Amino acid sequence: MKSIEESILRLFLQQPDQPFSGESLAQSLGLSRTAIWNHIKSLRELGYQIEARPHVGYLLAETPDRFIADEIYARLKTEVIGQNVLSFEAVDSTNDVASSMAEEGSREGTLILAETQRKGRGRLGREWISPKQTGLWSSLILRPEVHPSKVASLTLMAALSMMKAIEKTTGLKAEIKWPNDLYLNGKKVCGILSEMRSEPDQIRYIILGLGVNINLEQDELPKEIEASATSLLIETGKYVSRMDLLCHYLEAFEVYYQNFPNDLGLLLEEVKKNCLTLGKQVSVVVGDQTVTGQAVELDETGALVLEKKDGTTEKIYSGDLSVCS
Amino acid sequence: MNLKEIKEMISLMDEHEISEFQLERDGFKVLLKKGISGNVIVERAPASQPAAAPVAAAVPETVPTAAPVAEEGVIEILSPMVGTFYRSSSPEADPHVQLGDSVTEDSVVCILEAMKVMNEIKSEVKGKITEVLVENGEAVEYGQPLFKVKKD
Repeated sequence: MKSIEESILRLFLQQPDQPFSGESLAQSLGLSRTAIWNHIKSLRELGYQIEARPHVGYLLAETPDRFIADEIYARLKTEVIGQNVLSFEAVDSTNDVASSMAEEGSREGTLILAETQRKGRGRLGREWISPKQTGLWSSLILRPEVHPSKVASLTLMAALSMMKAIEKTTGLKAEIKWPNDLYLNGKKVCGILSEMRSEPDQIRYIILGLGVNINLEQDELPKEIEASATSLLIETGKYVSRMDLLCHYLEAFEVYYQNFPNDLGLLLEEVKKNCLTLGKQVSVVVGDQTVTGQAVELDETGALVLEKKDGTTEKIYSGDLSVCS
Repeated sequence: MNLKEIKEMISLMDEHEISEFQLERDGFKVLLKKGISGNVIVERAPASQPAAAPVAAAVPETVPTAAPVAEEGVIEILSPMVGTFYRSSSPEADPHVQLGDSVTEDSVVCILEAMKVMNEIKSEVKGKITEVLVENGEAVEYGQPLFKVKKD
């Protein structure tokens, strides 16, 4: 069910810089002018700068730098992905919220967003910093009717979709570090952490958690990760529209997802083409073991094939990877 | 007895709304029971000769979550995927389950990771953990036994 706010924003956003008279808004939406005025007022309270010009009408001068569900619906050109949004000021972790929502039956394509996470996390309980209003801290709920072994493809789709979104929004070309991190100039800008619940032969749901450092200043990065992490602001020197990046990501993802689980071969080819890990000498720490070798291939599940010194190969499914040369 | 036959039995059970089904043949005893969540739990116990290892299919097909063990009432929790086995959600955290712990169907027993997808594995049976078969951080195969659980 569309809200009036969404409909008003949709009209404004379709014709930017175009003023709308109270009369024409009232007519388009089948409401009284007083009702329109009340909704304009509530949009202003959310931070939308809507100017009222005498004899001309209302003009949307500026949108707030916030993930507001009505604005996302008004902008987003998708059928399913991101068509149900829950946007929070602060949560412990968007993945945690998404997990409980998925358990309660939230539908496919539901997106959980937060302006900040108190306990954002990476693999194995590691901290993921999520300063307020500086990034995209998101979790997407999917319910594909496929075998659990196909799950890695979904994380690769997310990585490719964000890679495209970054390019479309900023012009920067990110690369994929195996398994599914995005890097710019050798530094991490986006991380993906997914959680799955499955039956033996079918996925029940998967939570695609994805974090992007967008408008973090250099001094907002903790010392420990300063050398290995970056943000779109640091790389471009400009503030980047978080809303544009989000919409481009969701739209790109839906295109891939519509073909899922077909075309996985094509998907893998695209990942390989943009993967900075392949061809490099790498070492991977898995548990308390380290495997070193040449990254020669990705198998059909996305696992990394390492060719070791003794000529044997080993498949790697997870671990901390560092590139040696 | 192969997976296809077990699958056929499961569909027959579904079709006719049978909640429990037992069959003895070729040295195998097969007991199929529908779990609370509608899952089908497959138990196999050798009748006259030791049962063969559970099928480790090259192409993933339906694999039971629990497998036969010679000991009476002991179930193996099997890995539903290829990945890395973790006993806890972070290296600092306590393992989800220890030897001797009591578990219910919904107890998380471990986490499997592949490509940064974390999969919490549930016990699916009620009982006591009698053996932990895999080391923390070890790679596991599809269908590989992870724990032994003595059923209550």
